[in-house]
Amino acid sequence: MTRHKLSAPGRLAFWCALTLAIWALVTFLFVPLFSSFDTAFMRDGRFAILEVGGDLFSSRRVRTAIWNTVWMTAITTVTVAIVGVFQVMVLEYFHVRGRAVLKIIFAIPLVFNSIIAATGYDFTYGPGGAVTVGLQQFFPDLRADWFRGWFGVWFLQTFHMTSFFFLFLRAAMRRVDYSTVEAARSLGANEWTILRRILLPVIFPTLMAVILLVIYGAIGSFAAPQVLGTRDFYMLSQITLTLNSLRRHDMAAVLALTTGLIVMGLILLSQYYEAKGSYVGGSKTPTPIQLRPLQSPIANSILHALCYMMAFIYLLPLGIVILFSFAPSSSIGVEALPTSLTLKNYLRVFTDGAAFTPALNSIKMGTVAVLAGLALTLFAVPIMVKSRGWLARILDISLFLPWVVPSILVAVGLIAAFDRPNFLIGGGVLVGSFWILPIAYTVTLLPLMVRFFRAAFVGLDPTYEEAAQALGAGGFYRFRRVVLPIILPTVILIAGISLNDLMTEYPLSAFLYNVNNRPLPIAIVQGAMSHDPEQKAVNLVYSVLIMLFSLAVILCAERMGLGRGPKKT
Amino acid sequence: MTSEPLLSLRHLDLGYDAQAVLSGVSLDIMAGEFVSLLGPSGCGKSTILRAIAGFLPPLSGQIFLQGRDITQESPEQRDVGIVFQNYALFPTMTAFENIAFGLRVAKRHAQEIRTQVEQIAKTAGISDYLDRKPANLSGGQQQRVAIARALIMGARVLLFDEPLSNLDTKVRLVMRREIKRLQREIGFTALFVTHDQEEALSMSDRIAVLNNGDIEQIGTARNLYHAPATPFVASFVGAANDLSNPVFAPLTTTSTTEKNRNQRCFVKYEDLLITDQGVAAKVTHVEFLGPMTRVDLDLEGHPLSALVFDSRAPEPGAVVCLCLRPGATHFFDREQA
Repeated sequence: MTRHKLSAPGRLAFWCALTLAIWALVTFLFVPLFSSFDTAFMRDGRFAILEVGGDLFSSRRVRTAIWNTVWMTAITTVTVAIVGVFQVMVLEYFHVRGRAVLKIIFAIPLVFNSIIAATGYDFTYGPGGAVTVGLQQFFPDLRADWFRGWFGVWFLQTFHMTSFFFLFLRAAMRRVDYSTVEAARSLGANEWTILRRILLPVIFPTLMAVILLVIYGAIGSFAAPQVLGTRDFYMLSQITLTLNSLRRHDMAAVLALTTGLIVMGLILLSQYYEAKGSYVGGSKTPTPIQLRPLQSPIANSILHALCYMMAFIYLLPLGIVILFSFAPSSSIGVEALPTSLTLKNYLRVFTDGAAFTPALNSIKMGTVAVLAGLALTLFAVPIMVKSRGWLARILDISLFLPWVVPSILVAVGLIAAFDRPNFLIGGGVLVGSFWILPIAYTVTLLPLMVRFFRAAFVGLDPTYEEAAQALGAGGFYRFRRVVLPIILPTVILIAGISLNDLMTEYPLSAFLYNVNNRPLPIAIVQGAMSHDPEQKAVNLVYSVLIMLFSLAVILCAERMGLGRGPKKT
Repeated sequence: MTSEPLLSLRHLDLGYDAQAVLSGVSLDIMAGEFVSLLGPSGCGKSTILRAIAGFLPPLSGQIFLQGRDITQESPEQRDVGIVFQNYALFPTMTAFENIAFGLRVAKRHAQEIRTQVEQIAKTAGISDYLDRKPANLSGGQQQRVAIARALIMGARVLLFDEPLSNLDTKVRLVMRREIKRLQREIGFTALFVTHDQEEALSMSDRIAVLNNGDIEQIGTARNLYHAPATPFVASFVGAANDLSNPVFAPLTTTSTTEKNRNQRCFVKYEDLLITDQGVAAKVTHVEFLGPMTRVDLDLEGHPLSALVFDSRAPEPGAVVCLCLRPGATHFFDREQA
């Protein structure tokens, strides 16, 4: 039979691809992790962790960074939880006038986040910022950098780390069966009892999971203290970067590994709570929650006042960034509100080569990373979904590993593994080359891709493939002509989300960028720190463009109902 | 028949994870035959179909197609067409591309593909819908596309996995005849899985009745109906009363002489006659079904049912006399049951 022979090259191609995938995972994931351990624990072939630990704790700056990170994480977690829970209650439990508008405003952290938010807040409240300039007209004694330091970092994080609450806690809230609330009321329970005894137990697992994710984010906080920090206020990520640039790779590795262990523990704990949260209610036809007005008029007024105040806090920096992106650069740092508007900044970004280079770098590296990630995950996920053997287990664990390993550890590991010739990549040196960043980006994209492609493949009706197989189509042909077209919308959307994330990716970029590949997030942070109004104007344009791109991606995701898997005919 | 069977299953053991669901399945299907696998859900009918298509490797046994052992061949190597319960039309492709899929895999010329697809589409009555995507086709049209797609490669055997169960009653009756018409015109051999006995009886040359992983009987529709080989076939094909209880002894002795207490005894509803003389029973329930009336009866605390075809059905509560249609009673040895 001629067709039987055709499967031989197919099998060969499969094994080649598998070898390539395993090589990539070993070289760029496991070897760097091992190298970071090696760097942290060993020096000249002997065990030296105690010496390195001693060096670390004798450094006052390191101690300060650890202490700052600990207390900043603690207060941030508390205040984010307060703000986040408040928003969810306003949107999903109490009846508040202007709910539709508030919902959009409380979603702002979804697009206005990371370095965009950090630089945006600095542009608003920092030296030369619109608010600072405005305040100085009334209080000439006000310091130009009044906002910078722990207060700025805390303020920014409190209002911009609420995304998890907005996404997950709201969803949990909607799962509450309203008839249980009505039942409690008919049994004589008051408002407070209902909240504590009926609502809280249902959303508690999700609340815990979300709070743990906030702690995770706060510990790894990087862009915020980098932009808004001062000589006296700095955090763990920054000191790790400093140690790395001082060529104390061993100390950097110990810090990164310690952070990694804490983060891993937090994620496993949040997984535990997430699993607990998926319990099924008794009701087959849950009644959706009905928004209820607060009975006391005073409490109701306070509630509304708080809502609108919070809305103002969100809108002010966002509005300033958008407005000043259309302002002549001469008005930056001079005027509280621009007196004239122009498109010059936008034109400049697209026509001035120097201004566009970082964006081009980021687009290039982002595209490479997204394509590499897609190739790897689209190859691995079908194997993981279809077979239950050892290969599937290994791929599963490997591809999810970057999720529990913080970016900083990935970066430190890659530096430790590839700052000298390495035989795994043909004796090359990656540190200082263009390729190190796209490789690191790819590693961090894997968990997201795996998560959504797995959902897509699991939701795929197996009879499509069987029908194609019965018509004589081989494995690769089936994938290309039948499976891929069905899941293509998910693939494109995930590619968009990934590319969008990489445009503002800070930790890996900060550790691994060099003259060959200075990416957009680095340019934005440097632009924010510079005193050149032209630089700041370019920053604003990039911020607006990135937010628009994020918005487009989020709207597409919303429309597609991402994660529900492909539609069946 | 003297010629060699087109498709032959020999002592197939089928199952998942070494756990046999069916064991020792043997079945011969002649060229051009329309054979149905009939059985209640979960009896393993679809498992047999999946094994023939190649999606489920048998634990043991062999499958022959035209005398060639295809047991070890992968699904894409077998010349077997399959029509799925949900049709499995590729949602991203038009009807034309769905039908052309197999030809494209086989790298045929574009012109040849166009001619062949148009020809089969004409036969299947879907020429006007070729540029539509599956989502824009009705259930019946999707079904025709699925059949055309399975037929175009010239497969000798077409496997149907409950293909009519997703259609509403009217379309289902039309498609029954359409499938038979296509079979007559194109001349393929069909193995048709269904749990609907009316479907099986009306369409098949032969029917294999399955129960609990065993083939209970293979035969023509009339054969199964009038001469069931096992108690299961007797009660599953056409509704039947189980008269094995000694209470019914007077009833069975009136119609037959060689009654045996060690035998089980079945009689179809329509063969239980309401007459002027015989064994007395009380009418408990009467259901008018249009062309006939179903009468539920009580004989000393045991339920019986009869079908009456004239308008003179008794009223509930009436006491009537029963007898059995001569020669219509089926006896089985106890061990069989």
